[in-house]
Amino acid sequence: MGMTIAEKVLARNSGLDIVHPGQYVDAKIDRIIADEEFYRIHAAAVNGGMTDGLPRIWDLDRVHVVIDHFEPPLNETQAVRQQMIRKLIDKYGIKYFKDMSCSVIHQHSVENWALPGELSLGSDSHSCAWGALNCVSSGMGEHELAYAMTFGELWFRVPQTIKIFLKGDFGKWTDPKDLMFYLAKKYSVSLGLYKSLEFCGPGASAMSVSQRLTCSVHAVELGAKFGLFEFDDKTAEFIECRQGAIPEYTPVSPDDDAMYESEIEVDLGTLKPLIACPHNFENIAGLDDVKGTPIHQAQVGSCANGRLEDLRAVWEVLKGHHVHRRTRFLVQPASWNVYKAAMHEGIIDGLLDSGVQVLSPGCHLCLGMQGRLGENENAITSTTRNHNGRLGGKNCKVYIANPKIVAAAAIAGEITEV
Amino acid sequence: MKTTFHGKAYKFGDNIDTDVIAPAMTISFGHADKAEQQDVMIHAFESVRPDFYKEVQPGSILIAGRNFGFGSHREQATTVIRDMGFDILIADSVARLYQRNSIAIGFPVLEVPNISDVVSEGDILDVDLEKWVLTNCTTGKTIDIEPLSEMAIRIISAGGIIGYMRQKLEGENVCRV
Repeated sequence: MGMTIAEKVLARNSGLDIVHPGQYVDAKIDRIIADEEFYRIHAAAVNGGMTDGLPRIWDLDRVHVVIDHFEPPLNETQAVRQQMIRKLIDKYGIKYFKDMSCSVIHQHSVENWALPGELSLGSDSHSCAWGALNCVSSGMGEHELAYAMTFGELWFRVPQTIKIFLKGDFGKWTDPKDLMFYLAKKYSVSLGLYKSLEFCGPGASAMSVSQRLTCSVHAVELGAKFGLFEFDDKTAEFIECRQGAIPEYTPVSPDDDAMYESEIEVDLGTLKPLIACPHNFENIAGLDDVKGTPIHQAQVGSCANGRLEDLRAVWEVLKGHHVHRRTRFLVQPASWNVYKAAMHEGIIDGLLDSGVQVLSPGCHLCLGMQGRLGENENAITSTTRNHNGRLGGKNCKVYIANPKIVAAAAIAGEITEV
Repeated sequence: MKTTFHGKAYKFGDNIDTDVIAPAMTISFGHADKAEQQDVMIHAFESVRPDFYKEVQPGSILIAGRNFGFGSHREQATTVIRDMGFDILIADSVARLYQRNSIAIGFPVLEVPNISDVVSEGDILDVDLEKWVLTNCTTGKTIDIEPLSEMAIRIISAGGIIGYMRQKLEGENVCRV
């Protein structure tokens, strides 16, 4: 009997010929990428009675640390946390550390470090993002990462896999965000609970790496452990753009006779623009259900939708218009590479002249650390989550939509049909 | 591992996310110390149940619906439950990272489908993790519980994954001798 991508990688890294869903394995880890939580990984060991912190790091060639959530720091406490991290970088001899001018951890990871076929962990829940590059990756808490960084292995329950077969092309106003909304609406945000999602079919092949990243990032919004794509020429080309030597890697494809828990087929051409209403990714509506909702703040950015294609999409809608006077429109590119590319294409100039405020790359916007909402305000965002209280204070309502729908709302000052 | 629990149930619905449990703004200025823990506790659940920490008695049992703890990886959302006075969490289903993080800090989390149908806010519950049975003392109803995995029991019994790690490191040292 054949295996899925997740099963093959977990079997290989556990030294087993075959694994089955539900089986518990100790698997070797290929790579760990941590953000500011690196401090808490150290602290977990200290608070657990290991006064010097981690006894060792298993392989310094496979551990990376970035400062992305608090870059630049917004207050003294965040600044002090950064100082502590820099001391720990020296203490442990971390080789791969990205301090200033970092990007969103997941964008930096796919632009620099994550590799196809690897089993990798990140200290952020959206680490499933790297699955777009065929990297079997997921987020972990700091206590577990303390263990994984020391021994280079961790326990896993082999997940069941859902095959998501895609065909057709997105329409003018739809993108992968709408696919994920569609799945959340039809199957709930428990669809992928403790499972691996495998995106395949001609619709998946036709997607750009940027579009695949949106799907893989949002795998966790559907509860999933992994959100995986197969390796192809587009993946190879994307990785070739890296600077410096690229380590060898071995992509993993599912066996032809792999067993799936279920199969879902979606024709991308039939999707309509959707919107996630407060306060949950499952609370999906059509634009006509919420049109006319006044928008005080519009946002585009994050690991989900902060790439060049997203900025181009915003500009395509915004060109020749101006942001509504009621609305503040914040755009935060996911990386400095995205920022520079958008600058070269004249998009940044265009956005600024249209009344958009462009921020330096980072996670602030998605987390509500920058651009925080006042009381009773409404926002529309292409970022990852609209949980109660995440972006603002009392009675704030946050809607999630694809970048074009966000831009259209920013022009109209309200959610609008397209 | 503690195997018997007796306490009052506090109940939440479906899809309680980590921003509700431990709001993002309360975790962005802490240093993983007691002051941060206290701060997170004061704000825990405030968007759906303000001042919740004041109500919870030590030894209580947290009951929730589907997909409890989905969202961020943040561990503060798991430690705060314990800090508030809960000894165990039982939900219809629990988000993957939340489940792992709970086991990693040595806190028992159980998935019992439809638990939210048989427990109401304020019910007194008995939970037995040797017989794997839950008794609702208020209604007299008894239901079987799917046992935790051996791996989870091993880690929780060690007080969490750091305790488990220390055992493993001690084993390495013994081997070297």
